[in-house]
Amino acid sequence: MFRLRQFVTLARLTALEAIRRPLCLLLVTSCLVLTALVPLVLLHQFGEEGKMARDGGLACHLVFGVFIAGYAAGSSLTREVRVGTASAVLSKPVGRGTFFLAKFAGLAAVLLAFSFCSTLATLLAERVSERFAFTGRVAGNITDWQTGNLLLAAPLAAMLAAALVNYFTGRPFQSAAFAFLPPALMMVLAVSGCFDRTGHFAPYSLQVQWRILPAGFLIALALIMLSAIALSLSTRFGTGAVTVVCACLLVLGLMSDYLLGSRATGSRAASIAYAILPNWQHFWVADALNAGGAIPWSYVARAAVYSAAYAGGVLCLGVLSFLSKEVA
Amino acid sequence: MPLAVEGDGTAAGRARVLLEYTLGMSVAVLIAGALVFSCGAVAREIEERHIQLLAVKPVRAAQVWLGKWIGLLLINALLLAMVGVFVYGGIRWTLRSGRYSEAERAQTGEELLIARRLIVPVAEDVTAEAAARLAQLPAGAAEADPERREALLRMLGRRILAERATVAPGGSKTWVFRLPADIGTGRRARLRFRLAPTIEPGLISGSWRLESPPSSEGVTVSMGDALANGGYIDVPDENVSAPGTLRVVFRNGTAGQTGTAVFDIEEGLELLVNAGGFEANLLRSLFVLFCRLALLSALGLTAGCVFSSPVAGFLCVSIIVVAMMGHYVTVQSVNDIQAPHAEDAGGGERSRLAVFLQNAGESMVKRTAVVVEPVANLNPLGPLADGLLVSWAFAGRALVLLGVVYPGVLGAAGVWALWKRELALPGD
Amino acid sequence: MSEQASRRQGAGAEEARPEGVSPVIEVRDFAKVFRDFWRRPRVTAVDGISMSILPGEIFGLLGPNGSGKSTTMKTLMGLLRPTSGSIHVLGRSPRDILSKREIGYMPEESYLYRHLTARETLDFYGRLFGLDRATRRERVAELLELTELTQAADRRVGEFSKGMARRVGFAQALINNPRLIFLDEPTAGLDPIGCSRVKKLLINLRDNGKTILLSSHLLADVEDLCDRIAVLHKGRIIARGRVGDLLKKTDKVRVTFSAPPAGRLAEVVASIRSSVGDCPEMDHPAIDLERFFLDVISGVQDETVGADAGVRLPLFLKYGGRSS
Repeated sequence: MFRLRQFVTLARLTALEAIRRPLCLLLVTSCLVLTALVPLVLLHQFGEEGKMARDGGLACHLVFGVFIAGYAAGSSLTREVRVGTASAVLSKPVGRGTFFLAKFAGLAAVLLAFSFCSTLATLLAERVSERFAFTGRVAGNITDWQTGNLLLAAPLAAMLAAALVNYFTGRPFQSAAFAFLPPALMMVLAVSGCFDRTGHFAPYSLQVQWRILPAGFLIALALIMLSAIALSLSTRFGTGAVTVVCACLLVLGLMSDYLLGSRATGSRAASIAYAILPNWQHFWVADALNAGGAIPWSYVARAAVYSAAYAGGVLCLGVLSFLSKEVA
Repeated sequence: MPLAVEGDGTAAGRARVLLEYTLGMSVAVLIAGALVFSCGAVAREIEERHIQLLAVKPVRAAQVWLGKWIGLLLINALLLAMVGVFVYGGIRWTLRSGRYSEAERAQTGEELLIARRLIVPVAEDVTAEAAARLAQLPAGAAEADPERREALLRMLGRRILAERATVAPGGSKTWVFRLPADIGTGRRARLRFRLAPTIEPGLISGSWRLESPPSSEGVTVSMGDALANGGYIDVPDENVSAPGTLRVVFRNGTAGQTGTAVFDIEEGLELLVNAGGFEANLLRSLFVLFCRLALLSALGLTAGCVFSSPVAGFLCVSIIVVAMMGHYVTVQSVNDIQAPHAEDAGGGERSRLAVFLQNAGESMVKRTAVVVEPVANLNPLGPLADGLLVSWAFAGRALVLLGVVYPGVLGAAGVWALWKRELALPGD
Repeated sequence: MSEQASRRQGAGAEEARPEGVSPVIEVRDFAKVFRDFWRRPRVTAVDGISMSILPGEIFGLLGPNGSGKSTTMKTLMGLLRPTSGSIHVLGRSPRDILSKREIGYMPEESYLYRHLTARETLDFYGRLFGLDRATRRERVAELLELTELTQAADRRVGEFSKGMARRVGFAQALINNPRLIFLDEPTAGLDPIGCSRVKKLLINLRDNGKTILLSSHLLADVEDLCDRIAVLHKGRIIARGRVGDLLKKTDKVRVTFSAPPAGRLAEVVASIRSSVGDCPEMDHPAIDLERFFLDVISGVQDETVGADAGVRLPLFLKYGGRSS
């Protein structure tokens, strides 16, 4: 119980430190704004607007998530070791393994929160996107500007609320803004159900494509894997190097089927590399949603097992590395 | 990249991979590196408080900014030189004897590893015809607001050009090139023609007549089977002398409907005059790239004078992305026309906020285009990969704009920010 | 009220300045308020202080944490701007480049570049003062010897211990032969021998015409070094003056003499009692712990370590030495 309390305390602190960094808020907000802008900017794309909004949102989710994972994981542990707070904590009865794994848990919590916001934004962006409608009232391409405006306003509202909290209570702006983002987006989702896509009141109906949820969840799993890699690397390398390596791993992982998969049967080295390199294609399945397709939750469960096993393995290596690291 | 991508298997293809992709990606990495180093140069000093020891010395803020910038330029120059040596060495190694035939290497040398001056034909004036066609349109379209009328005229103009670029069997098309005064004499020249990709690439045959008015003497070059996309025609030396004009007439000698030649609207026929060697061209291109890196270093350095290093990096990346998007939109908007939105037609008004956002976006793009377009147009990679001349004037413009003017403005802002800033605030 | 208490009560007020002497530092009604993002006052670090520091003295700024010592020092060096009031350093604004030619600063923490060696660090700062190569080389060698870093001159500062890094910090503060030296906790982190060396060095510098402003929590060191002090509390000066004057108990007299033979002591006591009417307090005088430590160490080492050895200033730091 005592260890669990330590674990939760350290994880909470890690999450708080991560969301208090200005860059974290900037990255999250940029992701949400870009996701919101895609359906408002990409019009008249021959019926592909919904797909583009969906793919754009999921792509922003992945790319920005990579940078958040790399930066947050890299700066969290590296900085603590450099300034000495890690040694201050480890001089208490806190095991190194507990410390390291709690860091991961804190980062995973931040990434899950980010993924939640990004997935919500993607759901709403897809609803906003232009669609041809032929009803008694309208005939033609309809963009749900009302929901689009609300979606764009959500990050702004979260920041305004955070500014007020900072003004009246002195609490840090960044963490407050991050904390306000999920409820702001949920409110937009809830309110959007009161209107139809032309902006008129209608019987309550959310009109979002829930099949996007598994795609968002898969990306969240990928980001958690990546944060495990980033954290383990940061036991030895600096923030910049970790971010660069994570970006390279992302690119190589997306291409691993092409680069290594085709050579895996013929070459032992290629097959080992293919097994070790994380295959992000398992997690990027946006194309499966085309033409009304859906991602079965059984697939998501299998991907979760792969993600958990991979992250677990990488974290073990990270713990071993951290056990031998000099922190003083 | 050259190890993984073979290109089209030809010597020219491999050389093009090195020039376009290897050099392009290397430059992209250098840009990222320049941003990372420059954003941290001052910002990290402030965060780690080295600046406090510096600020109590008799050193002005301008000296700090300039000193950091020059240091970054030296690093950029060194890295760019290494990239240049690698790319040049890679090309020479690729074209070593034994790997490709003599003819292939010669062709690569003629088409790619050279600096050629690009001369475009005199633009056809379609204004009157476009206006006439606009007048013939149903009422309503012609009475549209001035911006819409402009866009319609542009669209009609492009349609007329597209019609004129189509040469049916038995038909002909004429281009006129005005040769600049400084083109010199005796320079080797070729005409490059490009056919628009067709669904079923046919075999076009015909003849090209080259004349240099006022002389009516000319030469006729017969064209056999053309490649699907285009080809080259050698221009005799006597037709290339300045000052003067070169008149080129293509006569489509193919029989049958499938023999219609559709020339590319913008690049249907171009005159390429040899102007120098590849090595000098590569050096000038690297110099222009160096100027670009100088600008980006100045941007990162100035951002770092105000914000912390990660926030400065994010800001710089955002500025570059917005600038690139603005450039893309500017290029696209020359030809695009705003289609009517369905909701305007019958589904109700667009919200005021949506209209405001669109107008704000367009206004922002127009304003940023004034600043961004000169920078975006100073990109040597395209011409270099196409064997086109990156001239001294081009390099000089890059030096002035990207190396002096823009960094000067950014530097002034950075120095002011650094001078104004309190360097020992608690929590810094 | 005791004389001492009444001295303290009036000691916040500024003393009269000797005529014909221009202060090196002149501060008038200086206040510094740190504001938050909304421009609301968050912390009043300094609340209207006035003081003058005269040439050729060692002036100490004392006070508990958060009293405004560091803020005052950093503003005097131009690293912060005053919210109100006026500050002149060597007759100019602290942000004036010309005044920075003649000051040296040793911060509390090591703000040195980790990847430069000690020699390169001193050379770098020497260049910033425009010193020519020969002068730089000479001064760097002398300062490395002065701070006992000659052996470690070519090691990276990042590998140094805290004490060694502080010595490099001290050396770079002297590279330009400054008229005015700012020292933030100059003896913190040093062992007693090192501490003694630094104190001797500072006294030597003062004797050679330098003015020193130091801030320290180590009151014993302040007492040994400073000619005058100011005590800050919550941004205000609550006591100031010459150290000796502030600490002296003028209502009592201490007489020290060699211990008399047994039995004679009672006669001495009786004599004093009959003269002044007071029963005197008597004890054996004691040396302080620092003195004891240094004596013990020098007793077991063959050569005199810096504790007893005179600290020889390089020529350029002495009166009449070349300035930057």
